[in-house]
Amino acid sequence: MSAHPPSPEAIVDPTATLTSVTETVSGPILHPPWPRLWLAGFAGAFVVTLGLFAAIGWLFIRGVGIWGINIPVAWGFAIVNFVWWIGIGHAGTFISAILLLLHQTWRTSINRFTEAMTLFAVACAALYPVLHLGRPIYAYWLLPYPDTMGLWPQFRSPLVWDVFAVSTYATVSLVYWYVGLLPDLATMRDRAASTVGRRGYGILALGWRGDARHWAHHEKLYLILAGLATPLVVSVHSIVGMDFAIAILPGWHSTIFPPYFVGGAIFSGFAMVLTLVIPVRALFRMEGLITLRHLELMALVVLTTGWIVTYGYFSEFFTAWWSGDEFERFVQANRALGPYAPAFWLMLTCNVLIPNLFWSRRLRRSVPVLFGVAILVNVGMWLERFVIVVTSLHRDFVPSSWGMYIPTFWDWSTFIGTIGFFLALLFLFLRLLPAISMSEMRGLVIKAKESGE
Amino acid sequence: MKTAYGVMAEFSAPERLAAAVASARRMGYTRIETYLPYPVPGVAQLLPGRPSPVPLAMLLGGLLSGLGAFFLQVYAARDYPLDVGGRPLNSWPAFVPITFELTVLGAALTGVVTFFIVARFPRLEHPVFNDERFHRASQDRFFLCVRSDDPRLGSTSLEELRSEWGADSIAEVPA
Amino acid sequence: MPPLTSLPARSPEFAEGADVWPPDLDRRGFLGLMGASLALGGLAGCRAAKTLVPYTHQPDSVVPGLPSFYASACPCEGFARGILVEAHEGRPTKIEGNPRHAESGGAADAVTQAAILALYDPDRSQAPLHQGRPASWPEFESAWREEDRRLAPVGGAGLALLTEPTTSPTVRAGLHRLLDRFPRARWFQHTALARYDAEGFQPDYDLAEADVILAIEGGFLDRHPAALRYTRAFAGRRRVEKGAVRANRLYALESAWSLAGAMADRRLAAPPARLPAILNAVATAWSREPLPETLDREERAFVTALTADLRRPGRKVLCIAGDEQPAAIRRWAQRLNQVLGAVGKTIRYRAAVRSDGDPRSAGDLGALADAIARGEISALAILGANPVYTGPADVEFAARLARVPFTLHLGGYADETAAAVRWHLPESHFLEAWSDLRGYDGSAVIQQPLIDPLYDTRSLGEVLRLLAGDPPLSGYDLVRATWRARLGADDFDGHWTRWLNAGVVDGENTPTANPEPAEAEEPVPYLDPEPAAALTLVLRPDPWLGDGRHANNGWLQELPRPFTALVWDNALLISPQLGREQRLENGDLVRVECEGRVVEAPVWLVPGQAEGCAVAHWGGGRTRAGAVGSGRGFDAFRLQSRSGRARGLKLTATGRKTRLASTQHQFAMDGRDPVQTFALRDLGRLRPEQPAISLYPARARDTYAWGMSIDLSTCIGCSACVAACQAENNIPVVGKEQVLRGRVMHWIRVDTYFAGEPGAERCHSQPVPCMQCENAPCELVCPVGATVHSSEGLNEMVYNRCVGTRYCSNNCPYKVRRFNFFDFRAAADSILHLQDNPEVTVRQRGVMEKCTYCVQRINRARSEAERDNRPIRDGEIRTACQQACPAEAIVFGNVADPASAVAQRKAEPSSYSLLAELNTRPRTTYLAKMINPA
Repeated sequence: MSAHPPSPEAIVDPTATLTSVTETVSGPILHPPWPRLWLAGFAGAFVVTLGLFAAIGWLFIRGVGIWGINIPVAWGFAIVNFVWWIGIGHAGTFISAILLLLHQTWRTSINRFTEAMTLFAVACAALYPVLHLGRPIYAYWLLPYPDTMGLWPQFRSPLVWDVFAVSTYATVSLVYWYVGLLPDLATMRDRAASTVGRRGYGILALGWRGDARHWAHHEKLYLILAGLATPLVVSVHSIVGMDFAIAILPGWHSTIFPPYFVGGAIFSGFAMVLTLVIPVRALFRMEGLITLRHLELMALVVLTTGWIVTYGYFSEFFTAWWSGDEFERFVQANRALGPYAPAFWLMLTCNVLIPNLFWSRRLRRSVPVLFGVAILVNVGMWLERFVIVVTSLHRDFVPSSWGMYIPTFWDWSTFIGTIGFFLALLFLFLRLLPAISMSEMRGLVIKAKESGE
Repeated sequence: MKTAYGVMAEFSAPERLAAAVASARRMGYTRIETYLPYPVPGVAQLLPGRPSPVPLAMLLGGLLSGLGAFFLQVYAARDYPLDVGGRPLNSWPAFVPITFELTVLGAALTGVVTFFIVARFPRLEHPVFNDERFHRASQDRFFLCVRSDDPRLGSTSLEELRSEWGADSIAEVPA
Repeated sequence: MPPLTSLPARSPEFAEGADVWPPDLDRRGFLGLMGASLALGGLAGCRAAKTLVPYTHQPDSVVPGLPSFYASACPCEGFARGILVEAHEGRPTKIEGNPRHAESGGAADAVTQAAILALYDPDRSQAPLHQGRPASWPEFESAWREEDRRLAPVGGAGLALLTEPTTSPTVRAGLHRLLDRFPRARWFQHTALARYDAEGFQPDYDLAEADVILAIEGGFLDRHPAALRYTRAFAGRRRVEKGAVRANRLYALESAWSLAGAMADRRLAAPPARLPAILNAVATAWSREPLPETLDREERAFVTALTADLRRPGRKVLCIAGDEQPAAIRRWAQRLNQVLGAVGKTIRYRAAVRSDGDPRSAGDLGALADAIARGEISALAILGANPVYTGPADVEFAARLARVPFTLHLGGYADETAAAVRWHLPESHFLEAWSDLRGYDGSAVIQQPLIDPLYDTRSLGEVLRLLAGDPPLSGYDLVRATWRARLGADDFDGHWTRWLNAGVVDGENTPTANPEPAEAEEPVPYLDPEPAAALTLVLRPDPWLGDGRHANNGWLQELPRPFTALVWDNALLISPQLGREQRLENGDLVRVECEGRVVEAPVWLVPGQAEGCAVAHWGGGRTRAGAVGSGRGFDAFRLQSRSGRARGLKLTATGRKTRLASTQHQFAMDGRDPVQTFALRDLGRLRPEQPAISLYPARARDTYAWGMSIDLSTCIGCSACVAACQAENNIPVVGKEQVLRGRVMHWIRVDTYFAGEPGAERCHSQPVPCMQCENAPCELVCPVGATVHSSEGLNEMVYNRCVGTRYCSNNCPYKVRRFNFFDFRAAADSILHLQDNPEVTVRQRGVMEKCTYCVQRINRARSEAERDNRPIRDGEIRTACQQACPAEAIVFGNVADPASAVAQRKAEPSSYSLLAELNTRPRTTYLAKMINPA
């Protein structure tokens, strides 16, 4: 990606001014009435969230047996969904941190939104490792705390790495997001009409005044946080990849996993950003700030990472064949021809074929196509995790212990429940916080003016 | 002038604020503050003050927490030696991921805390908020404030300052 | 030993308070009751205690926390299996084989071991029933007195007794006593299972001697009263020791898989209809005549190879015919043995031990049914049998029964028969009652109770005495009376004590006697060829449930059946070829029609089963077995006829399906050879497995390094190890639905693989416990260190620390870990907890569990060794699976000691570890399966 988008088309609407930017972003939040669509959407998402709580309640009452898991397939939807959500989370940090370091100014109008998406996705992901435990009340045993019996976690286990990776990732993302949000919270404070609004935003803004010296510290902090988040985002999904790669199970035990998981994560993350941004910019009339140019650039990222994932698939097959290991070879063959073959081929279609539509400029600039492809990539990436988790487990080394995994009603309701939870949080965010970084947009607007003159 | 916090001039464009800051420094003002809706490049450098401590703090915080993490794991492995899958007690490669994660976490948290300390956050009440123009400082206006403890303040009338700096408006900020 | 005079006049079997099961029994009360029964069932059989013994006066034979063992006998088709019963503070918890009893030799099969669960079965019949309504013994006694008044004058005319054939001297004496009282009464015997006597003689095989064996339809490894003894002897001829073996060669000719068929060096699968033709061909070939053209290629090859082997000089040969076979074929086999000169060498005949042929017995169920039909029976006492369920369909016994005015039934359950009679009387479990039994070899055992009857039940002997109208006598006194009479009075008590100690009555087994020798030149009888039937029905007893009597036993219901791994249901077993022809898949419901008798049954395809026959097991379709056993599978008795013939079978698909629960879904080895085999001739060429190099530093071994070796050459796949493990380790029963979901809990499983091309399948069994890997993959990935390695090499599972991530199971290449997906424990107040082994944790929901090499036994041995200040002896620790194994295929011990048995076995060239390429360094290794082809 070049420092400046190759197209003459601006990444901000040239007529925008400091005032108009502030108005467009904060206006919809501060001036009721709220759009009917928002109300409807939030209501829907909220109901599904209640469903999630019901599913979790039943899980705690009866135990993980309500899911389809068994021996040999002791991991099912819970882990599939965990990896899927974490992956989605990655786009946020990637966009706001890595693209910041790469001076991709076009990121400005979407980074706030995608960071929020990251937080909510990680929140959903973080549910699963706890829920899937046989004895969830003891989840804290995975943390190193001074235990009266001198017990420690078993630090060689990738699951412990996971605990630290995910919690670090969540914390740093939150910090990064909040620090970036401070100036905008001040704006909200200063524009809010109601006392509640003033007080609320005021407290969150911590008394931000826009003092030039604060700005200096702020810029430093923000930049270094971005610098930290960059290796972090890579490490997190590498570790998630190692959850599988460390095992000796054919289909899991593979060195390609960490990079291949990171690629897949960004792939699915951007797809999810597109899926969400397209309706949002329409809903809040932000076409001026999130332009077609942004969508096109994201489509290009999807195309690129799509090929990284494709390479991952290829190398998995190749190494399996090249290793000559009968178990490895069997797993790959079983994926393509076994009982779960439909999932496998659908996965290939969604992740390998479909993104190539974006080679065509016309298609990657057509909003409906973008939306459709994004949805399919989300599906495809979920299937990828399903294929990795289930098909590797259900037929492993000793034929006598082969089995099948059939998800139950509760598997599905927990999965769909988290989607509702995610959307509910997102709707609230859109309602209460500026979805686009006003302070950064201001800088952009001025720059655009200068370059305009 | 004891009751006043200082004199605040309002600008509508960043470049004019920058010019004003420059001239204020020429006129020998030292207690200068500027308030901006976005980080205008170069302005901070015009002001007196030490470089930000944030980067160094983050470096130290990260290193400390990283080292702590590594040795915690080594200690846990040796504290009560268990044969786990026939692996060596000190299987350091397995300890790297957590070490890295905690380095990042430590650095990030120290950074934020340091920032809050140097910026004296949270501070919800501040005299400049008393200025009724100031609510636009977070939107589309740029402000230059000379605090009343500046020895040179008062040597020039507000009107002169306004024309000198080309400010849209200028007024005292009550303490 | 107190003087006999101190024995109470009234039977302490029903001492006050000891004979009822108080619903509100608390711990103290329970211990008291158990303490009492312990004193009663004590070593010396001393019955001094008349009242409950509070634990403030502890019985001197009990050390709390230490189990005590008592010798007794378990009835198996009426024959004795010598057993040792483990009791904790007076409650029996486990049945093990009695090493001093010939028919056990220390081993115990799955069914015998599961009997302990039946003792605590909540569904047991607990009080007499009068026309289905609860009644009491006194009520029955008065009712019987009335009947007695009617019967006595006419010498019991119209009175009929129906029992199962028995070997018990006491019961037989009781029956004769009753027949003396009612001279005109008639005694019928019924069993759906096999008879083992032909013309009053019982064949007894010496498998240690036989070099060449022809087994027609199985018949000696599975479901034979002497199966344990035969298995041990047979295994002795298959075991490779120090790279050498005096191997026998087994030819199996069978329609469906038997355990013997699975062990065969050469097997021919032929439908029953082909059997006569093939056997005639054997006779022809033996007399050096050309084989008839009617034989196909495989049959021809089989017969030629077999006869060639039979002829080879210096070979001791033996022909065994399955006991379910028609008399003609059994006679053929007997004659062949004479012709081959096997009699006296590899086969001996002894006078029938069981009462089938008792001169005073008036015939079988059919005869009884006819008598009823003729209106000759006015009172019928069914003692122990369940003819309404086990009777052949065309006897229609239930209908006949309705025509008898006075009917009574004695049985452990209020079963189908109990529902059809006027009086049902609850029978004591064999661990609750005194009796005596004889083994297949005639050796007598005193059946010693371990506990007072939990409910208001009585033993058969006592009821017989009641029916005879004699003054009541305790089972204890009855048995002693029997044996005092046999022995004469000299130091009877001394003998008695010794017998109870040893669990064997010394000097008691029926002498061998051979039937009148036929003229040597008399040829092997010619068998009339069967009319070629498209499809024949083969009815067999269920491997575990037998004729359905064990249907309410959860352990047996959930114990995978050999060759199908089916649990909880029986199915109609057909060959894959037949399945293809009729487009049938596993679980398809078919309408089974045989000579007008019809049932609906699901099919299951078994590779290696002969085409042209379908196998149905009895034991399914019970309607009144109890909560566990009722409504499981289909009732194969509805297909059975008096004649036993079942030709002209017709299957028609109904288009419907049912879900059959099987614990194994893939029966092909898929080129991975978890079971390694070698031909005997290659024995010399075997090279011991070289340990792969490892990146990790080798760990210093402790004094003890526990390891196990499992010999696949001798493992017959009888699943005794699975049952033993379940009893020892408090392994829960999860039910059909959970099995369907892949959540069976067995810590050791017996894998079944079919190898070889269609027509020449071999079947391999492989017991798979935890491999106790030295570089255990499961341990590495546990985030909380809930599974770690002990210094002695055990892969230990810390239940209390487990949070249930299940990663260990995912990372276990052998998939031997089991997870508590739900709370599988019995209800807290369930009587089933009386069977729990107090030395093994009962696992809660959400934790992983697995084989521990019976660590509780290791630790008990360790504490004893440390107490005596000596090292643990080799063979001192026997894991439950090892102990139960009749083939001694499992050996456990200290691999650090090169002299130990396990170290010796691991040194065999045929020793290999499962998935060695993963370098997990399993402590459990296998000896490859030796096959001895011609």
